Amino acid sequence: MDTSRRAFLTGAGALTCGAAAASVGAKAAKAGPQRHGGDPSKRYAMVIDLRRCIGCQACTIACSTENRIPIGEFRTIVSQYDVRDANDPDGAVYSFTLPRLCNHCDNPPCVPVCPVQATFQREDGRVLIDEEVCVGCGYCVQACPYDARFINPVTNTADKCTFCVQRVDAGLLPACVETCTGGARMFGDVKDPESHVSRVLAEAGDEVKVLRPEMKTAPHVYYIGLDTRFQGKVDGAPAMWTKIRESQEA
Amino acid sequence: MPAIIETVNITHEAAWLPWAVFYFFFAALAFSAAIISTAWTLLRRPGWKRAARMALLVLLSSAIVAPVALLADLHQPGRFWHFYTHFTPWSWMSWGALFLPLFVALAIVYSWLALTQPKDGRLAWAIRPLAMATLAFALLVALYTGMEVMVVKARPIWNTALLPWAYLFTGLMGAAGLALVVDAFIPGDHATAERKLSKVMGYAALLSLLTLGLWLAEGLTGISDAAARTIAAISGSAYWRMIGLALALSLAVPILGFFIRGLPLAVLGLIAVAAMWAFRWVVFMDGQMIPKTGAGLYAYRLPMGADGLLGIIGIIGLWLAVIIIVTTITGPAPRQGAAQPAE
Repeated sequence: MDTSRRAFLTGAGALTCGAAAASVGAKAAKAGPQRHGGDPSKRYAMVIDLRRCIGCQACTIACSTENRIPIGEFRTIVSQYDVRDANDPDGAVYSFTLPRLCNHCDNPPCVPVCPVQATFQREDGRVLIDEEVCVGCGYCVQACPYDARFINPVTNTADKCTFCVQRVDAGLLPACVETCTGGARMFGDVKDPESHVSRVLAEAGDEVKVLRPEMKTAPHVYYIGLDTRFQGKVDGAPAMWTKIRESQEA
Repeated sequence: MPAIIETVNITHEAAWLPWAVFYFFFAALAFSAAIISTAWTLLRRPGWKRAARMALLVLLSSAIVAPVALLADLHQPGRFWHFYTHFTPWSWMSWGALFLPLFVALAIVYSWLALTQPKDGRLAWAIRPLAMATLAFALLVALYTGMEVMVVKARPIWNTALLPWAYLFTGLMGAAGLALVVDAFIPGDHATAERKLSKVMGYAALLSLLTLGLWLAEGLTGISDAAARTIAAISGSAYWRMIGLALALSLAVPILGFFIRGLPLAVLGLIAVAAMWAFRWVVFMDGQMIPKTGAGLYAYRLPMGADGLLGIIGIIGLWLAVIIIVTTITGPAPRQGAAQPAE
Protein backbone atom coordinates (compact mmCIF):
# COMPACT_ATOMS: atom_id res chain seq x y z
CA MET A 1 0.00 0.00 0.00
CA ASP A 2 1.46 3.36 -0.91
CA THR A 3 1.80 5.91 1.84
CA SER A 4 -0.76 8.41 0.51
CA ARG A 5 -3.46 5.71 0.39
CA ARG A 6 -2.49 4.55 3.85
CA ALA A 7 -2.61 8.14 5.05
CA PHE A 8 -6.04 8.60 3.53
CA LEU A 9 -7.40 5.40 5.06
CA THR A 10 -5.96 6.27 8.47
CA GLY A 11 -7.42 9.74 8.33
CA ALA A 12 -10.77 8.46 7.11
CA GLY A 13 -10.75 5.94 9.96
CA ALA A 14 -10.07 8.67 12.48
CA LEU A 15 -12.87 10.82 11.07
CA THR A 16 -15.30 7.87 11.09
CA CYS A 17 -14.45 7.10 14.72
CA GLY A 18 -14.87 10.78 15.54
CA ALA A 19 -18.27 10.94 13.80
CA ALA A 20 -19.42 7.76 15.56
CA ALA A 21 -18.30 9.11 18.92
CA ALA A 22 -20.06 12.42 18.24
CA SER A 23 -23.26 10.57 17.30
CA VAL A 24 -23.19 8.46 20.47
CA GLY A 25 -22.40 11.58 22.46
CA ALA A 26 -25.29 13.52 20.92
CA LYS A 27 -27.72 10.73 21.85
CA ALA A 28 -26.39 10.55 25.40
CA ALA A 29 -26.47 14.33 25.71
CA LYS A 30 -30.15 14.39 24.74
CA ALA A 31 -30.92 12.18 27.75
CA GLY A 32 -29.69 14.92 30.10
CA PRO A 33 -29.22 14.81 33.86
CA GLN A 34 -31.66 12.76 35.92
CA ARG A 35 -32.96 13.67 39.38
CA HIS A 36 -32.03 11.29 42.16
CA GLY A 37 -32.55 10.99 45.91
CA GLY A 38 -35.19 12.76 47.97
CA ASP A 39 -38.93 12.23 48.19
CA PRO A 40 -40.63 12.50 44.78
CA SER A 41 -43.99 13.20 46.45
CA LYS A 42 -42.68 16.58 47.68
CA ARG A 43 -41.53 19.77 45.95
CA TYR A 44 -39.85 22.17 48.33
CA ALA A 45 -40.07 25.88 47.69
CA MET A 46 -39.66 29.19 49.49
CA VAL A 47 -42.06 32.10 49.47
CA ILE A 48 -40.76 35.53 50.46
CA ASP A 49 -43.30 38.20 51.27
CA LEU A 50 -41.30 41.38 50.64
CA ARG A 51 -43.95 43.48 52.36
CA ARG A 52 -42.82 41.88 55.61
CA CYS A 53 -39.05 42.05 55.05
CA ILE A 54 -37.35 44.78 57.09
CA GLY A 55 -33.82 44.11 55.78
CA CYS A 56 -32.47 43.14 59.21
CA GLN A 57 -30.09 40.53 57.72
CA ALA A 58 -30.97 38.09 60.50
CA CYS A 59 -31.43 35.46 57.75
CA THR A 60 -27.97 36.24 56.39
CA ILE A 61 -26.39 35.74 59.82
CA ALA A 62 -28.44 32.64 60.64
CA CYS A 63 -27.49 31.01 57.34
CA SER A 64 -23.80 31.77 57.74
CA THR A 65 -23.83 30.45 61.30
CA GLU A 66 -25.85 27.32 60.57
CA ASN A 67 -23.85 26.39 57.48
CA ARG A 68 -20.47 27.69 58.67
CA ILE A 69 -19.92 29.85 55.61
CA PRO A 70 -16.45 31.45 55.42
CA ILE A 71 -16.34 35.17 56.19
CA GLY A 72 -16.94 37.24 53.06
CA GLU A 73 -19.06 34.59 51.31
CA PHE A 74 -22.84 34.25 51.55
CA ARG A 75 -25.45 31.66 50.64
CA THR A 76 -28.12 34.28 51.14
CA ILE A 77 -28.10 38.03 51.56
CA VAL A 78 -30.68 40.79 51.62
CA SER A 79 -29.85 43.32 48.90
CA GLN A 80 -31.02 46.80 49.81
CA TYR A 81 -31.87 49.74 47.61
CA ASP A 82 -32.93 53.37 47.99
CA VAL A 83 -35.70 53.98 45.49
CA ARG A 84 -37.37 57.17 44.37
CA ASP A 85 -39.93 58.00 41.74
CA ALA A 86 -38.00 58.84 38.57
CA ASN A 87 -40.68 61.37 37.63
CA ASP A 88 -40.49 63.07 41.01
CA PRO A 89 -36.80 63.57 41.87
CA ASP A 90 -37.61 65.65 44.93
CA GLY A 91 -40.11 63.13 46.23
CA ALA A 92 -39.67 60.76 49.11
CA VAL A 93 -37.06 58.02 49.02
CA TYR A 94 -38.10 54.60 50.22
CA SER A 95 -36.12 51.50 50.99
CA PHE A 96 -36.53 48.25 49.07
CA THR A 97 -35.13 45.00 50.41
CA LEU A 98 -34.66 41.85 48.38
CA PRO A 99 -33.50 38.58 49.97
CA ARG A 100 -31.49 36.56 47.45
CA LEU A 101 -30.56 32.87 47.50
CA CYS A 102 -30.43 29.80 45.25
CA ASN A 103 -33.78 29.52 43.46
CA HIS A 104 -33.76 25.68 43.35
CA CYS A 105 -35.09 25.93 39.81
CA ASP A 106 -37.06 23.17 38.13
CA ASN A 107 -34.86 23.75 35.10
CA PRO A 108 -31.57 24.57 36.83
CA PRO A 109 -28.89 25.77 34.38
CA CYS A 110 -26.16 24.86 36.89
CA VAL A 111 -26.91 21.11 36.72
CA PRO A 112 -26.36 20.24 33.04
CA VAL A 113 -23.10 22.19 32.76
CA CYS A 114 -21.42 20.39 35.67
CA PRO A 115 -18.80 18.17 33.98
CA VAL A 116 -18.66 15.60 36.79
CA GLN A 117 -22.33 15.52 37.92
CA ALA A 118 -21.38 16.90 41.33
CA THR A 119 -24.28 19.36 41.07
CA PHE A 120 -27.52 17.44 40.94
CA GLN A 121 -31.21 17.80 41.68
CA ARG A 122 -33.14 15.64 44.12
CA GLU A 123 -36.61 14.34 43.39
CA ASP A 124 -37.96 16.89 45.89
CA GLY A 125 -36.56 19.69 43.71
CA ARG A 126 -33.63 20.74 45.85
CA VAL A 127 -30.43 21.41 43.91
CA LEU A 128 -27.42 20.14 45.83
CA ILE A 129 -23.67 19.73 45.40
CA ASP A 130 -21.67 16.61 46.16
CA GLU A 131 -18.60 18.18 47.76
CA GLU A 132 -16.62 14.97 47.41
CA VAL A 133 -17.04 14.92 43.64
CA CYS A 134 -16.87 18.65 42.76
CA VAL A 135 -13.63 19.61 41.00
CA GLY A 136 -14.10 23.33 41.63
CA CYS A 137 -14.17 24.22 37.93
CA GLY A 138 -16.63 27.07 38.58
CA TYR A 139 -18.77 26.28 35.52
CA CYS A 140 -21.95 26.13 37.64
CA VAL A 141 -21.07 29.50 39.18
CA GLN A 142 -21.02 30.99 35.69
CA ALA A 143 -24.24 29.25 34.64
CA CYS A 144 -26.36 30.41 37.60
CA PRO A 145 -28.41 33.44 36.49
CA TYR A 146 -28.94 34.54 40.09
CA ASP A 147 -25.30 34.85 41.23
CA ALA A 148 -26.29 32.41 43.96
CA ARG A 149 -23.16 30.24 43.79
CA PHE A 150 -19.56 30.79 44.76
CA ILE A 151 -16.36 28.85 45.18
CA ASN A 152 -15.97 28.16 48.89
CA PRO A 153 -12.39 29.20 49.75
CA VAL A 154 -12.17 26.57 52.50
CA THR A 155 -13.47 23.51 50.64
CA ASN A 156 -12.39 24.79 47.19
CA THR A 157 -15.66 23.48 45.81
CA ALA A 158 -18.85 25.13 44.57
CA ASP A 159 -21.17 26.25 47.35
CA LYS A 160 -24.71 27.61 47.61
CA CYS A 161 -27.98 27.44 49.57
CA THR A 162 -29.30 23.91 50.08
CA PHE A 163 -32.59 24.98 51.67
CA CYS A 164 -30.73 23.78 54.81
CA VAL A 165 -30.97 20.15 53.72
CA GLN A 166 -29.56 18.95 57.05
CA ARG A 167 -32.32 20.75 58.97
CA VAL A 168 -35.23 20.00 56.66
CA ASP A 169 -34.37 16.28 56.52
CA ALA A 170 -34.50 16.36 60.35
CA GLY A 171 -37.96 17.97 60.29
CA LEU A 172 -36.82 21.54 60.95
CA LEU A 173 -37.19 24.70 58.91
CA PRO A 174 -34.26 26.28 57.06
CA ALA A 175 -32.28 28.57 59.38
CA CYS A 176 -33.23 31.73 57.46
CA VAL A 177 -36.93 30.92 57.75
CA GLU A 178 -36.65 30.03 61.43
CA THR A 179 -34.97 33.33 62.25
CA CYS A 180 -36.89 35.72 59.98
CA THR A 181 -38.11 38.42 62.35
CA GLY A 182 -40.91 39.68 60.12
CA GLY A 183 -42.08 36.23 59.05
CA ALA A 184 -41.30 37.18 55.47
CA ARG A 185 -39.63 33.89 54.59
CA MET A 186 -41.88 30.84 54.38
CA PHE A 187 -40.86 27.33 53.39
CA GLY A 188 -42.72 24.15 52.54
CA ASP A 189 -43.99 21.62 50.06
CA VAL A 190 -45.85 23.17 47.13
CA LYS A 191 -47.09 19.74 46.01
CA ASP A 192 -49.22 19.66 49.16
CA PRO A 193 -52.19 22.00 48.52
CA GLU A 194 -52.79 22.28 52.26
CA SER A 195 -49.24 23.41 53.11
CA HIS A 196 -48.74 26.96 54.38
CA VAL A 197 -46.72 27.98 51.30
CA SER A 198 -49.35 26.58 48.92
CA ARG A 199 -52.08 28.55 50.65
CA VAL A 200 -50.01 31.75 50.71
CA LEU A 201 -49.25 31.38 47.00
CA ALA A 202 -52.90 30.71 46.17
CA GLU A 203 -54.01 33.78 48.14
CA ALA A 204 -51.39 36.03 46.56
CA GLY A 205 -52.42 35.01 43.02
CA ASP A 206 -50.99 37.42 40.43
CA GLU A 207 -48.90 39.14 43.09
CA VAL A 208 -46.47 36.22 42.99
CA LYS A 209 -43.34 36.83 40.94
CA VAL A 210 -39.99 35.18 40.42
CA LEU A 211 -36.56 36.58 39.61
CA ARG A 212 -35.40 36.57 35.98
CA PRO A 213 -38.44 34.85 34.46
CA GLU A 214 -36.96 35.38 30.98
CA MET A 215 -34.31 32.73 31.77
CA LYS A 216 -37.09 30.10 31.85
CA THR A 217 -35.48 28.31 34.78
CA ALA A 218 -38.76 27.82 36.68
CA PRO A 219 -37.41 29.18 40.00
CA HIS A 220 -38.90 27.85 43.23
CA VAL A 221 -38.26 30.93 45.32
CA TYR A 222 -41.42 33.01 44.96
CA TYR A 223 -41.71 36.68 45.86
CA ILE A 224 -44.79 38.61 46.89
CA GLY A 225 -44.55 42.38 46.45
CA LEU A 226 -41.61 42.28 44.05
CA ASP A 227 -41.12 45.50 42.11
CA THR A 228 -40.50 44.41 38.48
CA ARG A 229 -37.48 46.76 38.29
CA PHE A 230 -35.68 44.30 40.57
CA GLN A 231 -36.52 41.09 38.73
CA GLY A 232 -33.37 41.12 36.58
CA LYS A 233 -30.12 43.05 36.62
CA VAL A 234 -30.93 46.16 38.59
CA ASP A 235 -30.62 49.33 36.55
CA GLY A 236 -29.34 51.57 39.29
CA ALA A 237 -26.29 53.19 40.79
CA PRO A 238 -23.96 51.17 42.97
CA ALA A 239 -23.12 53.19 46.03
CA MET A 240 -21.05 51.08 48.34
CA TRP A 241 -18.15 49.91 46.24
CA THR A 242 -14.47 50.68 46.47
CA LYS A 243 -12.46 53.51 44.97
CA ILE A 244 -11.29 51.21 42.15
CA ARG A 245 -14.87 50.74 41.13
CA GLU A 246 -15.56 54.45 41.31
CA SER A 247 -12.59 55.19 39.07
CA GLN A 248 -13.90 52.65 36.54
CA GLU A 249 -17.28 54.29 36.57
CA ALA A 250 -15.96 57.86 36.39
CA MET B 1 -30.19 61.60 41.08
CA PRO B 2 -30.72 57.99 39.91
CA ALA B 3 -34.08 56.38 40.62
CA ILE B 4 -32.42 53.38 42.29
CA ILE B 5 -29.30 53.35 44.45
CA GLU B 6 -27.96 50.01 45.61
CA THR B 7 -26.94 50.45 49.22
CA VAL B 8 -26.23 46.89 50.39
CA ASN B 9 -25.00 44.03 48.23
CA ILE B 10 -21.93 41.84 47.80
CA THR B 11 -19.26 41.64 45.12
CA HIS B 12 -19.10 38.23 43.49
CA GLU B 13 -15.51 37.16 42.93
CA ALA B 14 -14.46 35.79 39.55
CA ALA B 15 -14.86 32.00 39.64
CA TRP B 16 -12.72 31.63 36.53
CA LEU B 17 -9.29 32.97 37.35
CA PRO B 18 -6.62 34.47 35.08
CA TRP B 19 -5.51 30.84 34.62
CA ALA B 20 -8.64 30.33 32.52
CA VAL B 21 -7.64 33.24 30.29
CA PHE B 22 -4.27 31.61 29.73
CA TYR B 23 -5.79 28.20 29.13
CA PHE B 24 -8.09 29.58 26.42
CA PHE B 25 -5.15 31.62 25.10
CA PHE B 26 -2.71 28.72 24.77
CA ALA B 27 -5.40 26.27 23.62
CA ALA B 28 -6.37 28.69 20.84
CA LEU B 29 -2.72 29.23 19.91
CA ALA B 30 -2.31 25.46 19.70
CA PHE B 31 -5.42 24.62 17.68
CA SER B 32 -4.82 27.58 15.35
CA ALA B 33 -1.16 26.69 14.85
CA ALA B 34 -2.22 23.11 14.07
CA ILE B 35 -4.56 24.43 11.37
CA ILE B 36 -1.86 26.71 9.90
CA SER B 37 0.77 23.96 9.90
CA THR B 38 -1.33 21.71 7.67
CA ALA B 39 -0.81 24.15 4.79
CA TRP B 40 2.49 22.33 4.37
CA THR B 41 2.24 19.00 6.19
CA LEU B 42 -1.07 18.06 4.53
CA LEU B 43 -1.55 20.31 1.53
CA ARG B 44 2.08 20.91 0.53
CA ARG B 45 1.27 24.48 -0.48
CA PRO B 46 4.30 26.05 -2.20
CA GLY B 47 6.36 28.37 -0.02
CA TRP B 48 4.76 27.19 3.22
CA LYS B 49 7.53 24.95 4.53
CA ARG B 50 9.23 27.42 6.89
CA ALA B 51 5.97 29.11 7.86
CA ALA B 52 4.52 25.70 8.79
CA ARG B 53 7.64 24.92 10.78
CA MET B 54 7.16 28.08 12.83
CA ALA B 55 3.51 27.13 13.35
CA LEU B 56 4.62 23.67 14.50
CA LEU B 57 6.89 25.28 17.10
CA VAL B 58 3.96 27.37 18.33
CA LEU B 59 1.77 24.25 18.34
CA LEU B 60 4.22 22.13 20.31
CA SER B 61 5.02 24.77 22.92
CA SER B 62 1.40 25.89 23.40
CA ALA B 63 0.01 22.35 23.54
CA ILE B 64 2.40 21.55 26.39
CA VAL B 65 1.56 24.69 28.38
CA ALA B 66 -2.25 24.84 27.88
CA PRO B 67 -3.19 21.89 30.13
CA VAL B 68 -1.01 23.30 32.94
CA ALA B 69 -3.06 26.51 32.93
CA LEU B 70 -6.29 24.50 32.81
CA LEU B 71 -5.35 22.37 35.79
CA ALA B 72 -4.32 25.47 37.72
CA ASP B 73 -7.76 27.02 37.12
CA LEU B 74 -9.46 24.08 38.85
CA HIS B 75 -9.91 24.82 42.54
CA GLN B 76 -9.45 21.09 43.15
CA PRO B 77 -6.76 20.17 40.58
CA GLY B 78 -6.01 16.87 42.31
CA ARG B 79 -9.50 15.69 41.38
CA PHE B 80 -8.98 16.06 37.61
CA TRP B 81 -9.54 12.32 37.26
CA HIS B 82 -13.20 12.86 38.23
CA PHE B 83 -13.68 14.08 34.66
CA TYR B 84 -13.08 10.51 33.51
CA THR B 85 -14.86 8.61 36.28
CA HIS B 86 -17.95 10.85 36.00
CA PHE B 87 -18.14 11.46 32.26
CA THR B 88 -21.11 13.73 31.53
CA PRO B 89 -22.13 13.73 27.85
CA TRP B 90 -24.46 16.73 28.20
CA SER B 91 -21.67 19.03 29.42
CA TRP B 92 -19.30 20.64 26.91
CA MET B 93 -16.60 20.78 29.56
CA SER B 94 -16.81 17.03 30.00
CA TRP B 95 -16.29 16.53 26.25
CA GLY B 96 -13.39 18.93 26.46
CA ALA B 97 -11.79 16.72 29.08
CA LEU B 98 -11.73 13.99 26.43
CA PHE B 99 -10.74 16.11 23.44
CA LEU B 100 -7.94 18.05 25.10
CA PRO B 101 -5.59 15.25 26.19
CA LEU B 102 -6.03 13.49 22.84
CA PHE B 103 -5.31 16.73 21.01
CA VAL B 104 -2.27 17.45 23.17
CA ALA B 105 -0.88 13.92 22.71
CA LEU B 106 -1.42 14.01 18.94
CA ALA B 107 -0.05 17.56 18.69
CA ILE B 108 3.14 16.64 20.54
CA VAL B 109 3.82 13.52 18.46
CA TYR B 110 2.86 15.16 15.17
CA SER B 111 4.78 18.39 15.66
CA TRP B 112 7.81 16.60 17.07
CA LEU B 113 7.93 14.21 14.13
CA ALA B 114 7.36 16.95 11.56
CA LEU B 115 9.97 19.20 13.17
CA THR B 116 12.68 16.60 13.61
CA GLN B 117 12.01 14.57 10.43
CA PRO B 118 13.94 11.38 11.25
CA LYS B 119 16.88 11.04 8.88
CA ASP B 120 16.22 7.42 8.03
CA GLY B 121 12.72 8.42 6.91
CA ARG B 122 11.16 5.44 8.67
CA LEU B 123 8.37 7.43 10.29
CA ALA B 124 7.94 10.05 7.58
CA TRP B 125 4.80 8.28 6.34
CA ALA B 126 3.15 8.95 9.71
CA ILE B 127 3.31 12.74 9.45
CA ARG B 128 0.31 13.14 7.13
CA PRO B 129 -2.12 10.89 9.02
CA LEU B 130 -0.96 12.49 12.26
CA ALA B 131 -1.55 15.91 10.72
CA MET B 132 -5.09 14.86 9.75
CA ALA B 133 -5.86 13.45 13.20
CA THR B 134 -4.35 16.52 14.93
CA LEU B 135 -6.36 18.80 12.67
CA ALA B 136 -9.56 16.89 13.51
CA PHE B 137 -8.93 17.21 17.24
CA ALA B 138 -7.79 20.83 16.86
CA LEU B 139 -11.20 21.59 15.34
CA LEU B 140 -12.91 19.70 18.17
CA VAL B 141 -10.99 21.72 20.78
CA ALA B 142 -11.88 24.92 18.92
CA LEU B 143 -15.52 23.80 18.91
CA TYR B 144 -15.69 22.83 22.57
CA THR B 145 -13.84 25.89 23.90
CA GLY B 146 -16.24 28.11 21.96
CA MET B 147 -19.41 26.22 22.81
CA GLU B 148 -18.54 25.79 26.49
CA VAL B 149 -18.60 29.55 26.96
CA MET B 150 -21.28 30.35 24.40
CA VAL B 151 -23.95 28.22 26.10
CA VAL B 152 -23.81 30.19 29.35
CA LYS B 153 -27.06 32.17 29.06
CA ALA B 154 -26.51 33.73 32.47
CA ARG B 155 -23.65 35.81 31.06
CA PRO B 156 -25.03 37.75 28.09
CA ILE B 157 -21.53 38.82 27.01
CA TRP B 158 -20.68 35.14 26.40
CA ASN B 159 -24.06 34.03 25.12
CA THR B 160 -23.54 34.76 21.42
CA ALA B 161 -23.05 32.42 18.46
CA LEU B 162 -20.32 34.80 17.30
CA LEU B 163 -18.07 33.94 20.24
CA PRO B 164 -16.69 30.62 18.89
CA TRP B 165 -15.92 32.38 15.62
CA ALA B 166 -14.23 35.25 17.43
CA TYR B 167 -12.12 32.69 19.34
CA LEU B 168 -11.16 30.97 16.08
CA PHE B 169 -10.30 34.14 14.15
CA THR B 170 -8.37 35.80 16.99
CA GLY B 171 -6.67 32.44 17.58
CA LEU B 172 -5.51 32.23 13.97
CA MET B 173 -4.37 35.85 14.16
CA GLY B 174 -2.40 35.26 17.36
CA ALA B 175 -0.89 31.96 16.23
CA ALA B 176 0.29 33.48 12.95
CA GLY B 177 1.58 36.48 14.90
CA LEU B 178 3.48 34.30 17.36
CA ALA B 179 4.90 32.25 14.49
CA LEU B 180 6.21 35.53 13.03
CA VAL B 181 7.84 36.38 16.35
CA VAL B 182 9.44 32.92 16.60
CA ASP B 183 10.55 33.21 12.97
CA ALA B 184 12.42 36.42 13.76
CA PHE B 185 14.60 34.55 16.28
CA ILE B 186 15.48 31.59 14.06
CA PRO B 187 18.10 32.15 11.35
CA GLY B 188 17.17 31.39 7.77
CA ASP B 189 15.20 32.73 4.85
CA HIS B 190 12.52 34.88 6.49
CA ALA B 191 10.91 36.56 3.51
CA THR B 192 8.61 33.80 2.21
CA ALA B 193 7.46 32.66 5.65
CA GLU B 194 6.85 36.24 6.71
CA ARG B 195 4.72 36.84 3.64
CA LYS B 196 2.59 33.76 4.24
CA LEU B 197 2.18 34.22 7.97
CA SER B 198 1.48 37.95 7.80
CA LYS B 199 -1.26 37.23 5.26
CA VAL B 200 -2.94 34.74 7.63
CA MET B 201 -2.51 37.20 10.52
CA GLY B 202 -3.98 40.10 8.54
CA TYR B 203 -7.00 38.24 7.20
CA ALA B 204 -7.70 36.67 10.61
CA ALA B 205 -7.48 40.11 12.25
CA LEU B 206 -9.89 41.46 9.66
CA LEU B 207 -12.33 38.61 10.32
CA SER B 208 -11.97 39.18 14.08
CA LEU B 209 -12.82 42.85 13.69
CA LEU B 210 -15.78 42.03 11.45
CA THR B 211 -17.04 39.52 14.02
CA LEU B 212 -16.81 42.07 16.81
CA GLY B 213 -18.45 44.68 14.57
CA LEU B 214 -21.28 42.25 13.82
CA TRP B 215 -21.78 41.63 17.56
CA LEU B 216 -21.90 45.38 18.19
CA ALA B 217 -24.40 45.84 15.36
CA GLU B 218 -26.55 42.99 16.71
CA GLY B 219 -26.58 44.63 20.11
CA LEU B 220 -27.23 48.18 18.95
CA THR B 221 -30.07 47.14 16.64
CA GLY B 222 -31.55 44.80 19.23
CA ILE B 223 -31.32 41.76 16.92
CA SER B 224 -29.49 39.95 19.71
CA ASP B 225 -31.05 40.39 23.13
CA ALA B 226 -27.90 39.12 24.87
CA ALA B 227 -25.65 41.59 23.02
CA ALA B 228 -28.13 44.41 23.71
CA ARG B 229 -28.17 43.59 27.43
CA THR B 230 -24.37 43.50 27.53
CA ILE B 231 -24.10 46.87 25.83
CA ALA B 232 -26.70 48.31 28.18
CA ALA B 233 -24.69 47.06 31.17
CA ILE B 234 -21.31 48.41 30.06
CA SER B 235 -22.02 51.45 27.89
CA GLY B 236 -22.01 53.83 30.84
CA SER B 237 -18.56 52.75 31.94
CA ALA B 238 -15.54 54.80 30.86
CA TYR B 239 -13.36 51.76 31.57
CA TRP B 240 -15.30 49.59 29.11
CA ARG B 241 -15.29 52.29 26.45
CA MET B 242 -11.52 52.57 26.82
CA ILE B 243 -10.84 48.83 26.62
CA GLY B 244 -13.26 48.48 23.71
CA LEU B 245 -11.37 51.13 21.77
CA ALA B 246 -7.97 49.67 22.72
CA LEU B 247 -9.09 46.22 21.62
CA ALA B 248 -10.40 47.47 18.28
CA LEU B 249 -7.17 49.38 17.62
CA SER B 250 -4.94 46.44 18.55
CA LEU B 251 -6.98 44.18 16.27
CA ALA B 252 -6.57 46.70 13.45
CA VAL B 253 -2.77 46.90 13.75
CA PRO B 254 -2.05 43.41 12.27
CA ILE B 255 -3.97 44.47 9.15
CA LEU B 256 -1.54 47.36 8.55
CA GLY B 257 0.94 44.91 7.00
CA PHE B 258 -1.32 44.79 3.94
CA PHE B 259 -1.09 48.51 3.36
CA ILE B 260 2.30 49.65 4.61
CA ARG B 261 5.39 47.89 3.30
CA GLY B 262 8.49 47.53 5.43
CA LEU B 263 6.74 47.36 8.78
CA PRO B 264 8.54 45.11 11.29
CA LEU B 265 6.28 42.06 10.99
CA ALA B 266 7.56 40.50 14.21
CA VAL B 267 6.35 43.60 16.07
CA LEU B 268 2.98 43.40 14.34
CA GLY B 269 2.96 39.72 15.31
CA LEU B 270 3.61 40.57 18.93
CA ILE B 271 0.76 43.09 18.89
CA ALA B 272 -1.49 40.40 17.35
CA VAL B 273 -0.59 38.02 20.18
CA ALA B 274 -1.29 40.76 22.74
CA ALA B 275 -4.65 41.54 21.09
CA MET B 276 -5.58 37.87 21.10
CA TRP B 277 -4.73 37.62 24.78
CA ALA B 278 -6.49 40.90 25.62
CA PHE B 279 -9.65 39.73 23.87
CA ARG B 280 -9.78 36.68 26.13
CA TRP B 281 -8.99 38.75 29.21
CA VAL B 282 -11.82 41.16 28.45
CA VAL B 283 -14.29 38.35 27.69
CA PHE B 284 -13.42 36.33 30.80
CA MET B 285 -12.20 38.62 33.54
CA ASP B 286 -14.05 41.84 32.68
CA GLY B 287 -17.06 39.76 31.57
CA GLN B 288 -17.27 38.22 35.03
CA MET B 289 -17.35 41.70 36.53
CA ILE B 290 -20.75 42.39 34.98
CA PRO B 291 -23.21 41.51 37.77
CA LYS B 292 -26.04 39.18 36.84
CA THR B 293 -28.44 40.82 39.26
CA GLY B 294 -26.70 43.68 41.06
CA ALA B 295 -26.38 47.28 39.93
CA GLY B 296 -23.36 48.72 38.12
CA LEU B 297 -20.17 46.74 37.69
CA TYR B 298 -17.94 44.84 40.08
CA ALA B 299 -14.28 45.78 40.38
CA TYR B 300 -11.57 43.22 39.65
CA ARG B 301 -8.32 43.56 41.52
CA LEU B 302 -5.52 41.35 40.24
CA PRO B 303 -4.14 39.33 43.16
CA MET B 304 -0.37 39.33 43.50
CA GLY B 305 -0.12 35.58 44.19
CA ALA B 306 -0.50 32.37 42.19
CA ASP B 307 -4.07 33.21 41.19
CA GLY B 308 -2.93 36.56 39.79
CA LEU B 309 0.31 38.25 38.82
CA LEU B 310 2.62 35.47 39.99
CA GLY B 311 0.61 32.92 38.02
CA ILE B 312 0.72 35.09 34.90
CA ILE B 313 4.48 35.52 35.13
CA GLY B 314 4.85 31.81 35.82
CA ILE B 315 2.82 30.59 32.85
CA ILE B 316 4.50 33.00 30.42
CA GLY B 317 7.86 31.91 31.83
CA LEU B 318 6.89 28.28 31.35
CA TRP B 319 6.01 28.89 27.70
CA LEU B 320 9.29 30.76 27.17
CA ALA B 321 11.24 27.88 28.72
CA VAL B 322 9.42 25.33 26.57
CA ILE B 323 9.90 27.25 23.31
CA ILE B 324 13.61 27.74 24.06
CA ILE B 325 14.06 24.04 24.81
CA VAL B 326 12.04 22.96 21.78
CA THR B 327 13.82 25.27 19.32
CA THR B 328 17.20 24.27 20.76
CA ILE B 329 16.52 20.55 20.40
CA THR B 330 14.82 20.68 17.02
CA GLY B 331 17.60 22.84 15.59
CA PRO B 332 17.52 25.48 12.85
CA ALA B 333 14.93 25.38 10.11
CA PRO B 334 15.96 23.69 6.85
CA ARG B 335 16.21 26.00 3.86
CA GLN B 336 13.13 26.44 1.71
CA GLY B 337 14.52 24.33 -1.15
CA ALA B 338 16.07 21.62 1.05
CA ALA B 339 15.12 17.97 0.77
CA GLN B 340 11.56 17.22 1.82
CA PRO B 341 10.54 14.47 4.18
CA ALA B 342 9.63 11.23 2.50
CA GLU B 343 6.06 11.09 1.25
